[in-house]
Amino acid sequence: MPWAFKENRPIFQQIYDMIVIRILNGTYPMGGKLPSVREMAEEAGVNPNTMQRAMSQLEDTGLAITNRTSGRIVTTDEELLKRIKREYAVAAVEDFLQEMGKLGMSQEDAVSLIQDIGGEKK
Amino acid sequence: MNDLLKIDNLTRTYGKKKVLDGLDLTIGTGKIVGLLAPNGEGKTTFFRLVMGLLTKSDGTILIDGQEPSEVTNSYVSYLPDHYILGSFHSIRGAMKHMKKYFSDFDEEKALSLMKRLKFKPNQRLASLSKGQKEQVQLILFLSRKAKLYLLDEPLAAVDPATRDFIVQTILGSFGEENTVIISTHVVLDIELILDEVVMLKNGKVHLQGEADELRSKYGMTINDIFKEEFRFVEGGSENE
Repeated sequence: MPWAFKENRPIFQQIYDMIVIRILNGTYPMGGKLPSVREMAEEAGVNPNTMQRAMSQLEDTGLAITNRTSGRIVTTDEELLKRIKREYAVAAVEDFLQEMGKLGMSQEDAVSLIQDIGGEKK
Repeated sequence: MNDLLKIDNLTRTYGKKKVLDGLDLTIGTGKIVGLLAPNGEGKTTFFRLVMGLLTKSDGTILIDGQEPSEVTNSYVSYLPDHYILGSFHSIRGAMKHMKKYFSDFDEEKALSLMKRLKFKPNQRLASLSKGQKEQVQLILFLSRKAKLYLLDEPLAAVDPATRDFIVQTILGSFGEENTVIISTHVVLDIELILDEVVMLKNGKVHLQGEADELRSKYGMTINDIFKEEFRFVEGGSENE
Protein backbone atom coordinates (compact mmCIF):
# COMPACT_ATOMS: atom_id res chain seq x y z
CA MET A 1 0.00 0.00 0.00
CA PRO A 2 1.62 3.26 -1.06
CA TRP A 3 1.68 6.38 1.06
CA ALA A 4 -0.71 8.78 -0.62
CA PHE A 5 -1.42 12.14 0.94
CA LYS A 6 -4.36 14.42 0.42
CA GLU A 7 -2.30 17.11 2.06
CA ASN A 8 -5.06 19.45 3.16
CA ARG A 9 -5.21 17.67 6.50
CA PRO A 10 -2.10 17.76 8.69
CA ILE A 11 0.35 15.26 7.26
CA PHE A 12 1.09 13.76 10.68
CA GLN A 13 -2.60 12.88 11.10
CA GLN A 14 -2.74 11.31 7.67
CA ILE A 15 0.37 9.28 8.48
CA TYR A 16 -1.15 8.31 11.82
CA ASP A 17 -4.29 7.01 10.09
CA MET A 18 -2.26 5.07 7.54
CA ILE A 19 -0.17 3.39 10.22
CA VAL A 20 -3.29 2.58 12.26
CA ILE A 21 -4.79 0.88 9.21
CA ARG A 22 -1.59 -1.08 8.69
CA ILE A 23 -1.76 -2.19 12.30
CA LEU A 24 -5.44 -3.13 12.04
CA ASN A 25 -4.94 -5.16 8.88
CA GLY A 26 -1.87 -6.92 10.23
CA THR A 27 0.77 -5.35 7.99
CA TYR A 28 2.38 -4.36 11.27
CA PRO A 29 1.36 -7.35 13.44
CA MET A 30 0.51 -7.27 17.15
CA GLY A 31 3.62 -7.26 19.26
CA GLY A 32 5.79 -6.78 16.18
CA LYS A 33 8.49 -4.16 15.86
CA LEU A 34 7.73 -1.00 13.93
CA PRO A 35 10.39 0.32 11.53
CA SER A 36 12.42 3.28 12.81
CA VAL A 37 11.16 6.83 12.37
CA ARG A 38 13.90 7.54 9.87
CA GLU A 39 13.14 4.44 7.79
CA MET A 40 9.45 5.18 7.71
CA ALA A 41 10.00 8.86 6.92
CA GLU A 42 12.20 7.97 3.98
CA GLU A 43 9.75 5.38 2.71
CA ALA A 44 6.88 7.84 2.90
CA GLY A 45 8.94 10.75 1.60
CA VAL A 46 8.08 12.95 4.56
CA ASN A 47 10.04 14.87 7.13
CA PRO A 48 11.27 12.70 10.06
CA ASN A 49 9.86 15.24 12.52
CA THR A 50 6.42 14.72 11.00
CA MET A 51 6.79 10.95 11.25
CA GLN A 52 7.94 11.34 14.86
CA ARG A 53 4.77 13.25 15.62
CA ALA A 54 2.60 10.50 14.16
CA MET A 55 4.53 7.95 16.23
CA SER A 56 4.05 9.99 19.39
CA GLN A 57 0.34 10.01 18.72
CA LEU A 58 0.39 6.22 18.28
CA GLU A 59 1.99 6.02 21.70
CA ASP A 60 -0.59 8.37 23.17
CA THR A 61 -3.42 6.17 21.98
CA GLY A 62 -1.53 3.12 23.22
CA LEU A 63 -1.23 1.49 19.79
CA ALA A 64 2.54 1.61 19.94
CA ILE A 65 4.73 1.09 22.94
CA THR A 66 8.31 2.21 23.18
CA ASN A 67 10.46 -0.33 24.81
CA ARG A 68 13.96 0.64 25.81
CA THR A 69 15.49 -2.58 24.58
CA SER A 70 13.48 -3.54 21.54
CA GLY A 71 12.43 -0.18 20.09
CA ARG A 72 8.88 0.63 19.20
CA ILE A 73 6.43 -2.26 19.09
CA VAL A 74 2.76 -2.66 18.21
CA THR A 75 0.45 -3.16 21.17
CA THR A 76 -0.82 -6.63 22.09
CA ASP A 77 -3.97 -5.20 23.65
CA GLU A 78 -6.70 -6.91 21.63
CA GLU A 79 -9.49 -4.93 23.27
CA LEU A 80 -7.86 -1.67 22.23
CA LEU A 81 -7.40 -2.89 18.66
CA LYS A 82 -11.02 -4.01 18.52
CA ARG A 83 -12.23 -0.65 19.76
CA ILE A 84 -10.12 1.30 17.30
CA LYS A 85 -11.09 -0.96 14.43
CA ARG A 86 -14.71 -0.23 15.25
CA GLU A 87 -14.05 3.52 15.33
CA TYR A 88 -12.46 3.42 11.88
CA ALA A 89 -15.21 1.16 10.54
CA VAL A 90 -17.92 3.46 11.90
CA ALA A 91 -16.26 6.45 10.27
CA ALA A 92 -16.04 4.61 6.94
CA VAL A 93 -19.70 3.57 7.10
CA GLU A 94 -20.76 7.11 7.94
CA ASP A 95 -18.84 8.41 4.93
CA PHE A 96 -20.45 5.74 2.78
CA LEU A 97 -23.98 6.52 3.98
CA GLN A 98 -23.38 10.19 3.37
CA GLU A 99 -22.36 9.45 -0.23
CA MET A 100 -25.45 7.27 -0.67
CA GLY A 101 -27.55 10.09 0.77
CA LYS A 102 -26.15 12.41 -1.90
CA LEU A 103 -27.37 9.94 -4.51
CA GLY A 104 -30.80 10.02 -2.90
CA MET A 105 -30.58 6.53 -1.45
CA SER A 106 -32.04 5.73 1.94
CA GLN A 107 -30.16 3.74 4.54
CA GLU A 108 -32.33 0.71 3.75
CA ASP A 109 -31.56 1.01 0.03
CA ALA A 110 -27.89 1.21 0.86
CA VAL A 111 -28.02 -1.86 3.11
CA SER A 112 -29.83 -3.94 0.52
CA LEU A 113 -27.35 -2.79 -2.10
CA ILE A 114 -24.48 -4.01 0.08
CA GLN A 115 -26.22 -7.37 0.46
CA ASP A 116 -26.80 -7.65 -3.30
CA ILE A 117 -23.21 -6.86 -4.14
CA GLY A 118 -21.87 -9.01 -1.33
CA GLY A 119 -23.98 -11.91 -2.67
CA GLU A 120 -22.66 -11.43 -6.19
CA LYS A 121 -19.08 -11.45 -4.97
CA LYS A 122 -19.56 -14.80 -3.22
CA MET B 1 18.25 27.33 23.11
CA ASN B 2 20.32 29.17 20.58
CA ASP B 3 18.56 30.14 17.39
CA LEU B 4 20.46 28.96 14.37
CA LEU B 5 19.41 31.92 12.30
CA LYS B 6 18.24 35.19 13.76
CA ILE B 7 17.41 38.03 11.41
CA ASP B 8 16.23 41.44 12.58
CA ASN B 9 14.99 44.29 10.44
CA LEU B 10 17.00 43.11 7.45
CA THR B 11 16.82 45.60 4.62
CA ARG B 12 18.48 45.63 1.23
CA THR B 13 17.83 48.20 -1.43
CA TYR B 14 18.76 48.15 -5.10
CA GLY B 15 18.61 51.77 -6.15
CA LYS B 16 15.23 52.92 -4.93
CA LYS B 17 13.71 49.47 -4.76
CA LYS B 18 13.64 47.80 -1.36
CA VAL B 19 13.95 44.10 -2.10
CA LEU B 20 14.04 43.28 1.59
CA ASP B 21 12.30 45.76 3.80
CA GLY B 22 12.70 45.19 7.53
CA LEU B 23 12.56 41.41 7.44
CA ASP B 24 12.45 39.62 10.81
CA LEU B 25 12.94 35.90 10.96
CA THR B 26 14.07 33.33 13.51
CA ILE B 27 14.79 29.73 12.62
CA GLY B 28 15.81 26.95 14.97
CA THR B 29 17.83 23.77 14.53
CA GLY B 30 16.50 20.46 13.24
CA LYS B 31 14.04 21.78 10.70
CA ILE B 32 13.37 21.73 7.00
CA VAL B 33 12.07 25.15 6.12
CA GLY B 34 10.45 26.22 2.87
CA LEU B 35 11.22 29.80 1.86
CA LEU B 36 8.33 30.39 -0.48
CA ALA B 37 7.76 33.35 -2.72
CA PRO B 38 7.20 34.07 -6.38
CA ASN B 39 10.25 35.08 -8.39
CA GLY B 40 11.57 38.53 -7.68
CA GLU B 41 10.54 38.62 -4.00
CA GLY B 42 14.10 38.53 -2.65
CA LYS B 43 14.76 34.87 -1.90
CA THR B 44 18.16 34.88 -3.58
CA THR B 45 19.03 38.27 -2.10
CA PHE B 46 18.23 36.86 1.32
CA PHE B 47 20.56 33.88 0.87
CA ARG B 48 23.34 36.04 -0.52
CA LEU B 49 23.09 38.35 2.48
CA VAL B 50 23.30 35.40 4.87
CA MET B 51 26.43 34.25 3.04
CA GLY B 52 27.99 37.72 3.19
CA LEU B 53 28.05 37.88 -0.61
CA LEU B 54 25.98 41.06 -0.52
CA THR B 55 26.07 43.87 1.99
CA LYS B 56 22.91 44.70 3.83
CA SER B 57 21.47 48.19 3.87
CA ASP B 58 20.22 47.78 7.42
CA GLY B 59 19.46 45.24 10.13
CA THR B 60 21.27 42.30 11.69
CA ILE B 61 21.97 38.73 10.62
CA LEU B 62 23.18 36.23 13.19
CA ILE B 63 24.04 32.66 12.27
CA ASP B 64 24.54 30.59 15.39
CA GLY B 65 25.17 33.88 17.16
CA GLN B 66 27.72 35.23 14.66
CA GLU B 67 27.54 37.70 11.82
CA PRO B 68 28.16 36.34 8.33
CA SER B 69 31.88 35.74 7.87
CA GLU B 70 34.31 33.09 6.69
CA VAL B 71 33.69 31.36 10.00
CA THR B 72 29.94 31.07 9.47
CA ASN B 73 30.47 30.15 5.82
CA SER B 74 32.49 27.16 7.00
CA TYR B 75 29.32 25.62 8.40
CA VAL B 76 26.72 26.97 5.99
CA SER B 77 26.36 25.13 2.70
CA TYR B 78 24.91 27.40 0.04
CA LEU B 79 23.65 26.00 -3.22
CA PRO B 80 23.16 28.93 -5.60
CA ASP B 81 20.36 28.93 -8.14
CA HIS B 82 22.82 29.04 -11.03
CA TYR B 83 25.66 26.82 -12.17
CA ILE B 84 29.02 27.67 -10.63
CA LEU B 85 31.22 24.70 -11.55
CA GLY B 86 32.10 26.11 -14.96
CA SER B 87 35.80 26.36 -14.26
CA PHE B 88 36.21 22.67 -13.47
CA HIS B 89 37.02 20.07 -16.06
CA SER B 90 35.53 16.95 -14.48
CA ILE B 91 33.36 15.83 -11.58
CA ARG B 92 36.55 14.69 -9.86
CA GLY B 93 38.08 18.16 -10.25
CA ALA B 94 35.03 19.80 -8.70
CA MET B 95 35.17 17.31 -5.82
CA LYS B 96 38.83 18.08 -5.21
CA HIS B 97 37.95 21.74 -4.95
CA MET B 98 35.15 21.04 -2.46
CA LYS B 99 37.50 18.94 -0.35
CA LYS B 100 40.12 21.67 -0.34
CA TYR B 101 37.80 24.52 0.62
CA PHE B 102 35.33 22.82 2.91
CA SER B 103 36.64 20.71 5.77
CA ASP B 104 33.14 19.32 6.28
CA PHE B 105 32.98 17.86 2.75
CA ASP B 106 32.19 14.14 2.86
CA GLU B 107 33.78 12.67 -0.25
CA GLU B 108 32.38 9.19 0.29
CA LYS B 109 28.86 10.49 0.52
CA ALA B 110 29.35 12.52 -2.67
CA LEU B 111 30.73 9.48 -4.50
CA SER B 112 27.88 7.24 -3.41
CA LEU B 113 25.25 9.80 -4.41
CA MET B 114 27.00 10.33 -7.78
CA LYS B 115 26.94 6.59 -8.31
CA ARG B 116 23.22 6.39 -7.58
CA LEU B 117 22.57 8.96 -10.28
CA LYS B 118 25.01 7.13 -12.57
CA PHE B 119 27.63 9.86 -12.69
CA LYS B 120 31.28 8.86 -12.98
CA PRO B 121 34.08 10.88 -11.34
CA ASN B 122 36.01 11.22 -14.58
CA GLN B 123 33.02 12.51 -16.51
CA ARG B 124 33.58 15.88 -18.16
CA LEU B 125 31.25 18.52 -16.77
CA ALA B 126 30.96 20.13 -20.18
CA SER B 127 29.45 16.92 -21.54
CA LEU B 128 26.50 17.05 -19.14
CA SER B 129 23.09 18.55 -19.77
CA LYS B 130 21.91 21.59 -17.85
CA GLY B 131 19.81 19.47 -15.52
CA GLN B 132 22.66 17.02 -14.91
CA LYS B 133 25.06 19.82 -14.08
CA GLU B 134 22.64 21.11 -11.47
CA GLN B 135 22.32 17.62 -10.00
CA VAL B 136 26.11 17.33 -9.68
CA GLN B 137 26.23 20.71 -8.00
CA LEU B 138 23.43 19.78 -5.62
CA ILE B 139 25.17 16.53 -4.66
CA LEU B 140 28.39 18.40 -3.93
CA PHE B 141 26.73 20.91 -1.62
CA LEU B 142 24.55 18.33 0.13
CA SER B 143 27.66 16.27 0.78
CA ARG B 144 28.95 18.85 3.21
CA LYS B 145 28.15 18.18 6.86
CA ALA B 146 26.86 21.67 7.45
CA LYS B 147 24.81 23.14 10.28
CA LEU B 148 22.75 25.10 7.81
CA TYR B 149 21.95 24.33 4.18
CA LEU B 150 20.63 27.08 1.97
CA LEU B 151 19.24 25.57 -1.21
CA ASP B 152 18.15 28.13 -3.76
CA GLU B 153 15.59 26.60 -6.13
CA PRO B 154 17.23 23.16 -6.08
CA LEU B 155 14.48 21.48 -8.08
CA ALA B 156 14.12 24.00 -10.85
CA ALA B 157 15.73 21.97 -13.62
CA VAL B 158 15.05 18.36 -12.74
CA ASP B 159 12.65 15.75 -14.09
CA PRO B 160 10.12 14.13 -11.73
CA ALA B 161 12.16 10.96 -11.15
CA THR B 162 15.26 12.93 -10.23
CA ARG B 163 13.12 15.20 -8.13
CA ASP B 164 12.19 12.24 -5.92
CA PHE B 165 15.85 11.27 -5.61
CA ILE B 166 16.80 14.80 -4.61
CA VAL B 167 14.00 15.05 -2.06
CA GLN B 168 15.20 11.73 -0.58
CA THR B 169 18.76 13.05 -0.54
CA ILE B 170 17.69 16.20 1.25
CA LEU B 171 15.83 14.08 3.81
CA GLY B 172 18.87 11.84 4.19
CA SER B 173 21.24 14.77 4.74
CA PHE B 174 19.05 16.30 7.34
CA GLY B 175 19.09 15.53 11.05
CA GLU B 176 18.48 16.93 14.50
CA GLU B 177 21.67 18.94 14.43
CA ASN B 178 21.13 20.89 11.24
CA THR B 179 18.57 22.92 9.35
CA VAL B 180 17.75 23.03 5.65
CA ILE B 181 16.19 26.10 4.07
CA ILE B 182 14.84 25.46 0.59
CA SER B 183 13.66 28.34 -1.53
CA THR B 184 11.16 27.69 -4.26
CA HIS B 185 8.23 29.08 -6.14
CA VAL B 186 7.05 25.54 -6.97
CA VAL B 187 5.65 24.54 -3.61
CA LEU B 188 4.19 21.21 -4.65
CA ASP B 189 7.68 19.75 -5.15
CA ILE B 190 8.62 20.00 -1.50
CA GLU B 191 5.30 20.29 0.29
CA LEU B 192 5.61 16.96 2.14
CA ILE B 193 9.05 17.44 3.59
CA LEU B 194 8.58 20.84 5.16
CA ASP B 195 8.46 21.38 8.92
CA GLU B 196 8.06 25.07 8.61
CA VAL B 197 6.92 27.51 5.99
CA VAL B 198 8.09 31.08 5.48
CA MET B 199 6.42 33.16 2.79
CA LEU B 200 8.05 36.39 1.67
CA LYS B 201 6.04 39.28 0.32
CA ASN B 202 6.97 42.92 -0.20
CA GLY B 203 10.35 42.38 1.41
CA LYS B 204 8.94 41.04 4.66
CA VAL B 205 7.91 37.73 6.16
CA HIS B 206 4.30 37.57 5.12
CA LEU B 207 3.45 34.33 6.83
CA GLN B 208 5.42 31.88 8.95
CA GLY B 209 4.30 28.73 10.66
CA GLU B 210 4.53 25.01 11.11
CA ALA B 211 3.38 23.29 7.93
CA ASP B 212 0.85 21.00 9.64
CA GLU B 213 -0.56 23.83 11.74
CA LEU B 214 -1.09 25.94 8.63
CA ARG B 215 -2.87 23.01 6.95
CA SER B 216 -5.20 22.74 9.96
CA LYS B 217 -5.75 26.46 10.22
CA TYR B 218 -6.53 27.05 6.55
CA GLY B 219 -7.91 23.60 5.72
CA MET B 220 -5.73 23.74 2.62
CA THR B 221 -2.47 22.38 1.35
CA ILE B 222 0.56 24.63 1.63
CA ASN B 223 0.53 24.81 -2.15
CA ASP B 224 -3.06 26.12 -2.09
CA ILE B 225 -2.31 28.61 0.68
CA PHE B 226 0.61 29.84 -1.40
CA LYS B 227 -1.54 30.24 -4.48
CA GLU B 228 -4.15 32.09 -2.45
CA GLU B 229 -1.67 34.45 -0.81
CA PHE B 230 0.08 35.31 -4.05
CA ARG B 231 -2.89 35.26 -6.35
CA PHE B 232 -2.37 38.78 -7.61
CA VAL B 233 1.37 38.56 -7.82
CA GLU B 234 1.80 35.30 -9.67
CA GLY B 235 2.68 35.98 -13.25
CA GLY B 236 2.15 39.65 -12.47
CA SER B 237 4.36 42.61 -13.12
CA GLU B 238 7.70 43.31 -11.47
CA ASN B 239 7.07 47.01 -10.95
CA GLU B 240 4.55 47.10 -8.17
